[in-house]
Amino acid sequence: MTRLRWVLVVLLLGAAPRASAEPTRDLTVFAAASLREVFEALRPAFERARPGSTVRFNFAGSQELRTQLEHGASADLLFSADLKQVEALAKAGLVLSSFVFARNEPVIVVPRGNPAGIHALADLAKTKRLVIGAPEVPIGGYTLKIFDAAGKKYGAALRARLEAAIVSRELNVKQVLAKVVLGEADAGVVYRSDALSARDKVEVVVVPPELNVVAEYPVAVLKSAVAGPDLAQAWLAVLFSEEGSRALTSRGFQPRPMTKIPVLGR
Amino acid sequence: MKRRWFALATGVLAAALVALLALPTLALFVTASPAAILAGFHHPIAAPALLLSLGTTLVSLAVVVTLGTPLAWWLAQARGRAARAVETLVALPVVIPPAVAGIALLLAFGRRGLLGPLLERLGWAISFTTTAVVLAQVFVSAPFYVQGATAAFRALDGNLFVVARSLGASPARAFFRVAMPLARPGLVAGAAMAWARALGEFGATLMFAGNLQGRTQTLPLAIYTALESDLHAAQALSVLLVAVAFALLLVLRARQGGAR
Amino acid sequence: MSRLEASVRKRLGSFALDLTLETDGCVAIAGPNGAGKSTALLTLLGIVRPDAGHVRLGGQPLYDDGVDVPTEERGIAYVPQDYALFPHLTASGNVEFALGCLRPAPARARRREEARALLDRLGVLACADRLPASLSGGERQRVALARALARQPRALLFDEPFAALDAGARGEVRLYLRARLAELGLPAVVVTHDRADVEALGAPVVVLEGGRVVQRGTLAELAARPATEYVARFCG
Repeated sequence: MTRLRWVLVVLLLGAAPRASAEPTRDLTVFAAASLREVFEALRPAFERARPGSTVRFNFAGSQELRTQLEHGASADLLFSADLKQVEALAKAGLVLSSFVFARNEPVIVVPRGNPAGIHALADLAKTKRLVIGAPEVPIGGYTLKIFDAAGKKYGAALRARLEAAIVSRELNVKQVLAKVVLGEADAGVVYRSDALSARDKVEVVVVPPELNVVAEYPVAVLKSAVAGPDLAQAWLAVLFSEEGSRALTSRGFQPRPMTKIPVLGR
Repeated sequence: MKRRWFALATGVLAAALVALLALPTLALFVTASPAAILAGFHHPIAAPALLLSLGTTLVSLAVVVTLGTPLAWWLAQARGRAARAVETLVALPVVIPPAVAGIALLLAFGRRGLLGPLLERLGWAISFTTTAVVLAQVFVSAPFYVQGATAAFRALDGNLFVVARSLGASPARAFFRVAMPLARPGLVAGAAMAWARALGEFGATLMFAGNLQGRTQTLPLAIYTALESDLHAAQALSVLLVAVAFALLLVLRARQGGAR
Repeated sequence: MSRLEASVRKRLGSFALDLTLETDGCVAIAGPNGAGKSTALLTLLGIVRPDAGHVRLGGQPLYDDGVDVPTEERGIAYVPQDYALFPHLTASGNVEFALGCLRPAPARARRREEARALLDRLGVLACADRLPASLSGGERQRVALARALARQPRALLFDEPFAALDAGARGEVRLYLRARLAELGLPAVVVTHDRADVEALGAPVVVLEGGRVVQRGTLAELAARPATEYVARFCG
């Protein structure tokens, strides 16, 4: 009986959370779902630059990441698909600094074979199965802006028909893409980078530039950082290196040309 | 001395689990002011989601009970390998993660799924409709009812049915007049579990039916959507969901107790 | 007087049941546990299908070449060891259930009257509105008998009808059953492993061991020349 008691005591002590003042050896990055492929591809470059360390990712809808951070999750860097999330976090005092690091372009995607015959934005109004992001999700916000611009240019009737064609408002952009890839949706609005990632399964219909918006991707240095500025700096260096720029461009992003990488400090 | 230690240890362990289960639920109710919760109820997303959840779960429960009761009756009596295989098959949705269930439903009933072309020729496009919500709920909740009902039927004394037949009762009469009344507490318990599971269904619904207010946005989906923008609305909806589920369980438990 | 004739063979796992019997009154089937006695009843009833043989009642084949009358239509009532009263119905409800299975079934109000009349004839009218769980063993047996009789059976089968009773009630109930069976004049098969039961019933015995009939006759005949060790012990 006494032995059992001691086992319990040891277990409880071991389970108690430990506070540590030293920086950890791995970088924690929260990133928008659309950045998954390109960041995973650049991880080896980071590990080469900082042997012994790696970068741990949490990919999700940007709004979801914001909610997690607001509720106490800790990360070193946040890469968001729109400015809204970073602004909200900044207002809550959770951001040390931020700047836009890349741009993306919303496009219309249709399943391979284009069964519904979509060739222009206005054609979306005649589909019965249009899938877009929910308004809170960055891609959803951008899509609504595009639709509103189309309504202003072509009339409220078109805007209403676009609205009526929507059958689902997904909670992250990858889910929108998935519905199009599976052929369940006649069309969806995702980022160019997502369309490229599924290039053999979907076809792209371009949104006319006068109606389109630019998706600006900011990176925010977070107050909850534990890995120390050096590791975060190293990751940014990878992103803005030749290799990083090529990785971003080849996947449909437009990296912001940076002559000098901002130095991060506390 | 030893007896007191045992009682103490049992009490501590049990209390730990009860606390772990009760605390989050209590936190839902306690950490928001009644005013905030009431405001959340009035959120435009709330009423359609609640009505949709109640409507769809009622339909899926009806489907599950109507189709599941004969199945459970057969499973309780059949002895062969086929019956055992069916029993395992019916239990599968329980171990499949809900998102995987959603994908599976799409691959079966979606436009490019197994039955897709056939359904399309019949004019039935299921995904993104309320029917898809009901289908997803039936898929994930049916095992709970069938397992409970089978156990309830199995627990019945076989002699009762031998006697019933010898008295001249047809199989239908024996089922409705002897089996059903005696198995009712178990059937009701199984139905309660199925209903609760259907009410909370999220992952499969999101994948298969989509997320559209009034058509496919059930209460769990509404909560998740609200979470993105308004924590208070999400909390109010969560309180609503828990309260509705609790009320349903109470009602069913009362009927089950009365049937004894 | 109708005659129950049966000759059934059935493979039962480690041994084979091979039973022949003929009776127009009461006959007991005795034997050790696992001898196949209960299964024998189920083959007469039609719940278990024999591998070969026949079952005839009053000259009508119930089971024979190409004939297999379903249990519901055989008109043979069955009272299992624990009486299997429907626990959710009152004593009267149990009897009414049987009346409701008759073709044509009497109207609901008539059923209540007839049920009560039957219970009265068996001396358990006081139990009519009580649930089986609240009845004593002896009362339950009589209610089970009333229910069986409500079916207007042409034969009766009892599986260990006295085993569930306490020793005190047993004697009285044995005599009671004997009297009722004599009154009814129907073929009745009573399975038992207790010699005292056979003695009280005053019926001829068929002894089953390992599925085979090892001896048949009156208790006296068995006692005089027991064919096996079990029979010798059975007769005491």
